[in-house]
Amino acid sequence: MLAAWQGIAMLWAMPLLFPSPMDVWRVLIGLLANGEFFVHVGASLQRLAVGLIVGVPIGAALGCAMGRSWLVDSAFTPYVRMANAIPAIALIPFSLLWFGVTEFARYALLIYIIGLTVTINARHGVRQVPPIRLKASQTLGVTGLRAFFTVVIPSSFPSILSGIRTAIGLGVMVVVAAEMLGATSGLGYLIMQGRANYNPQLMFLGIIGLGLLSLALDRGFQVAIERFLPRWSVKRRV
Amino acid sequence: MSATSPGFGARLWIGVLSVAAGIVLWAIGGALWDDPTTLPSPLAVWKTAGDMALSGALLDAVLASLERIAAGYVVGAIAGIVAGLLLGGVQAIDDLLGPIFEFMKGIPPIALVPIMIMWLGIGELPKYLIVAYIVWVVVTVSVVTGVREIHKVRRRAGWSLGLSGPAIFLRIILPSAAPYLIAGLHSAVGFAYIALVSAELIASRSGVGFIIMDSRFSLKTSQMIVGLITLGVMGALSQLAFDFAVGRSRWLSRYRRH
Repeated sequence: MLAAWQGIAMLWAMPLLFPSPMDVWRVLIGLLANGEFFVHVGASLQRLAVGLIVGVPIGAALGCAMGRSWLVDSAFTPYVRMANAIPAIALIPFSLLWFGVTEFARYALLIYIIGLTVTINARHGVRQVPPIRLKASQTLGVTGLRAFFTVVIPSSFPSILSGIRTAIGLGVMVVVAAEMLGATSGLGYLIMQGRANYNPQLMFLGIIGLGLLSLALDRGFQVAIERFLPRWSVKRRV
Repeated sequence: MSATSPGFGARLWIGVLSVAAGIVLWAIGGALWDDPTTLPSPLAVWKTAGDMALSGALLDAVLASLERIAAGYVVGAIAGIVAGLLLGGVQAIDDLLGPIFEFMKGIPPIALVPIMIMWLGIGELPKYLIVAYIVWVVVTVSVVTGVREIHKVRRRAGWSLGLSGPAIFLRIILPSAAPYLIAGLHSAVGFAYIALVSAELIASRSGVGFIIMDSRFSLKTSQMIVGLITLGVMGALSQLAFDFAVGRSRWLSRYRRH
């Protein structure tokens, strides 16, 4: 594949439009040497991490509340529906208007999209808890909050976990978009720099970096669940 | 869990009350803040929406965006079905191209916008392709899953009943993968809008995404909110239209999973 890419690039001989892997490699070495590449990858990862650390608990709490109480559910459903219909990327100009080109604007966006995705999945998970499990726990004398923590939460865990996985994927999209439209660091910024300076190698590097990053995050998340939470492994049981 | 859940009417009332409370809070906040570039009042947004609707600017933007969604979606869906069947069904193709697809599916569509513009200019084609790209990825993933999930027994039953290769494909593989395909096509609608907005925010002179980005620079916040709401309505209506179309078609609704 790499050979084919190099071959096409050499035949085409238009480095400004279609850089060869060697060119991209050279740019990467340069950025690795002065540490800049890690700075940008680190910036994107840090934003994602903040979004996850703040957004997941908020989403899980709201989703569980919506799944359990019809009052909370009816009150929040119109807002969740509306938020879900508007692509989060479209809110970037709005966040820039409110918060300016600040780190906070990007955190707010990521917390929003991750929180929203986890909310929807947690609500779904709580509602899907088989009634027989609740009845069984009732017969065993476990009710109320205790039942919520010992029966409902564990049963809805798979749904919450798959929500987090989806949220990571959407979070990558949003963080890149936010970095492209207003930031001075991150992989999205790298791509925009490539565009501004007419440096296609940089653009290719940013895109390849993103593909690898989201692949690694997705795989890493699955491996982490297998390893640390084998009870809720996402692997299909046949 | 839902033993004590009340009827639909009560839920609807709470929902309406909650939205009304939200709008009232928004109005109070807007009045207190008193800065229409940060938080325009609901009334100002409503007026702007009326002006934009009357002048035809809103309709033009919606039509421009819908055209991009439609063109990109159709191309992406067809490409996704073909790629999904090939990747899921032919082991050699999966071995060769599977890893590349795994890598490509992680690339957010917005990251491709600058490259597409560099290659193809800022005409309509790059926007179609950005939408088509994400639809292709989503549909391919679901079709691959669908084809892989088919029980071996079904295929073997086909073989032992003497079906030929093409007949197995048409009568076993396609119908078995159809529910996954429909699910994929459904979520692709939402993703198509993400890609559309990405392309329109960065490089466009028309469309709903352009209205939103343009309002940022001219500080017309109420116009931006109208754009966001329009986008939400378009997305929601597209999902409904999809469900309606699948539900109406007798052939497709057989394969819908609830």
